[in-house]
Amino acid sequence: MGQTEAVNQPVPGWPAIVARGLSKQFGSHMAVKSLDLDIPAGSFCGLLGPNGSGKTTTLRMTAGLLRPDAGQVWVAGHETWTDPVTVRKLLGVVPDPLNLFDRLSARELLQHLGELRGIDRAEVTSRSEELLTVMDLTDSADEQIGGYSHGMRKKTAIAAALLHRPAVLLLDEPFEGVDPVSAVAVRTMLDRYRAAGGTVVFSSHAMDLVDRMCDFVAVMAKGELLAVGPIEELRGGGRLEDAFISMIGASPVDPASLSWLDNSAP
Amino acid sequence: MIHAAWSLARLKWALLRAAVKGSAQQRIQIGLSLILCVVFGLSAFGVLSTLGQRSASADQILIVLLPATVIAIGLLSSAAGVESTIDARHLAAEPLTRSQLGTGLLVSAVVGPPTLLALLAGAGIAIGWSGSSPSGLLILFLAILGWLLTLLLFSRTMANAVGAWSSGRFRQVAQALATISALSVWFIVQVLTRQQASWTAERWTELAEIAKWTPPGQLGLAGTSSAEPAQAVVHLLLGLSWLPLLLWLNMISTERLALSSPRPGSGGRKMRTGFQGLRSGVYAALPHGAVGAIAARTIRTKFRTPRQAVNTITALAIGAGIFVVGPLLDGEIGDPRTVMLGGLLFFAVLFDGNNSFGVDGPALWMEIQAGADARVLARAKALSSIVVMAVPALVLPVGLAIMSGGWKWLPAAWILAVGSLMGAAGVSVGSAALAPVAVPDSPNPLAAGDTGQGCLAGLMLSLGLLVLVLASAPVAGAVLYASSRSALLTTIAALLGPVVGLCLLWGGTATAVTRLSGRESDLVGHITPAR
Repeated sequence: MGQTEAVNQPVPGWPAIVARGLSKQFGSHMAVKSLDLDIPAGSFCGLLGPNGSGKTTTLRMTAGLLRPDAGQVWVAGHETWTDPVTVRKLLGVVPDPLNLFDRLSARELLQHLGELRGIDRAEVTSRSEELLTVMDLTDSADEQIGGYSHGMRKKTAIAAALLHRPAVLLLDEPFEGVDPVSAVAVRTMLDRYRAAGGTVVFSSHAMDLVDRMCDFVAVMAKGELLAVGPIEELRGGGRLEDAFISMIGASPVDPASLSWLDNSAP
Repeated sequence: MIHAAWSLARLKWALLRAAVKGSAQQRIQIGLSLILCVVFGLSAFGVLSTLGQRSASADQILIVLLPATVIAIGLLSSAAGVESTIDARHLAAEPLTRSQLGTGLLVSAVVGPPTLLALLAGAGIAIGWSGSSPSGLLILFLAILGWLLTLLLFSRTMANAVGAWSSGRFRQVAQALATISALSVWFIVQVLTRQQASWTAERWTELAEIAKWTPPGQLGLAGTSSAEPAQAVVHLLLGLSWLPLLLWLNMISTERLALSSPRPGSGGRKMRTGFQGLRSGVYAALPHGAVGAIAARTIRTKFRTPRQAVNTITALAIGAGIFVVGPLLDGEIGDPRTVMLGGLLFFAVLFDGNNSFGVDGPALWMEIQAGADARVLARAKALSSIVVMAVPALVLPVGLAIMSGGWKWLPAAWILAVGSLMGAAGVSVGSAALAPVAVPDSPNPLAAGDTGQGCLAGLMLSLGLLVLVLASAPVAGAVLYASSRSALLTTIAALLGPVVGLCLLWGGTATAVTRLSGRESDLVGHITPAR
């Protein structure tokens, strides 16, 4: 085990994520409004919400990639913006959009990040090869990432996020663009990671996926937290999708509007 | 077509206005761009209007000037790349015909500060070469208009072609073209400034005889033939005759650029996973740990990224060339002490390391996320700058010693080279941290960013050079004095170089650390290009 993993540990008794009064404004648009959120350690949490609800902004502020205008956020008991280095060591992150070093190969990228995190070189090599195999990236592991498809890039990012066995994984739309076979492999890997005590927080629009994988859900809309808790509570015995739409409010389509769609002429 | 052109021009104007209302850095960029264009434009106006009215060779100068500027701007455009304020690729899915796309982007390219410079230069020509007859004035006006159109079409076509080729099978050709273009401009400037004394009336006449065979040269002839309107009209028509061809080439190249790959990948090409020869030695020599890892990654991505590789080669060629090309053009090295100048790669290190965080792009978040803080990042960037330029800095003095026989100055030259590398690397990393600039995601090796980014980068480069010159002045004085005594004394005096270099290295990295500490995520925000 590398030095980094030994030194930086979660604070016992703390939830995986705690946010208090977290806010972010872009120009005149309030992306996240005074968010209070607790995500228990060891949970598989789905962050749900329509487009523009503030999910990505919340994840980026939690990961230390975007400075909040107000509020605080703790990861495994360490405050992201006062103790950023410790938090970074405890986190694995797959942001959206993916920004990877396009001129490195997947193998080189994993080796590089492992070295930066202070993990023994032989251990990095061993973990990298296993991750590349599970992600079905072995054949293209020596090609430049710039030539990868979106799904391959996403799988590379997930591998990079898992490499140091973080305490908490923050994944923004992790399954978007990933083929079904690889998605099963990733899900299996995440289940195993969670079973060993890890926490997964991921944003998604895929209700069935969240329904199947998560035991904890947070729902956001217009920068505010609408609901948070165990998935069974939020479902209330019904389907998660129905509960979600009733919380958000389905967008009504007036039959009289969009009448031009009925015409076949361009 | 007019509707598309008008829409894209309005879009460009809206983007520029948004930039003015944007971050402080964007405002500085636009402001700098505007100021420099006005200053250079007024200078061109003054020089041209005076030359045209007072020079005995005014007619010949105009005939040479018009094609020369077209070639120069064409070369600069291939080196500087496509404008990214409106990326042609973003318009590929729009229902625009080839001509609508081409014309629209051409018209949008006119919206911006550089147009001011061109118009002021055109006004200078109009005043300098205007005759008394109304027909002559009209022909001169049309000739200037033709020249401005030629400048626009030629420069945009060159930039589009290099941009389109960069993402296809001719990637290497495009990279070579961009490098050669940048070096050609610099080499031409070197030649012109060194041979000022030979710019006689006869020389202008000789050059005009050659230039008149080009279409812009014909425009120049038209502008100087106001006394014979019929002849001037013929020259004017000849000068304008290639514009339809240029327009067609521009539309083709714009379409190719719009359909080029947005992500310059390897195209499935396998890479060697190991490194051999010099490269493996360099990587092995880097220290273990985060600083060494990021320095190694920086060097690796630098030479795999066309934009950065071209930048490094250009930096080295220009930086080293300052001391090598001059003596070569002069035919000899007069003073053997010139050997000591060979390793002074101030400019090369500064140019190469300019915006070293920005060229990493938003992927830098991965290293920050993996635990690299400001101190690690700053040290790694300084180390990579030193490593990249170390070999040339040590070899070039040897080359000059072979040329001049000044072997006894070699120890001092190497000591000074070490000092210059450390000092320039420090200033470079400090400058990169103070003004990190987002580099556009473009297949062009030297793609231009938003309006004014180049001006900001140029300003930081100039300030860096100023700091280095001021800090090195005492060392230069001591070495110069000692060199009039003995080589041994000079070698001892040269030891001041690494001392000053170390101070600058410390100062530069400390500046970077102070600037970035706790703001690493903000740095990623600064270097993420707007989409």
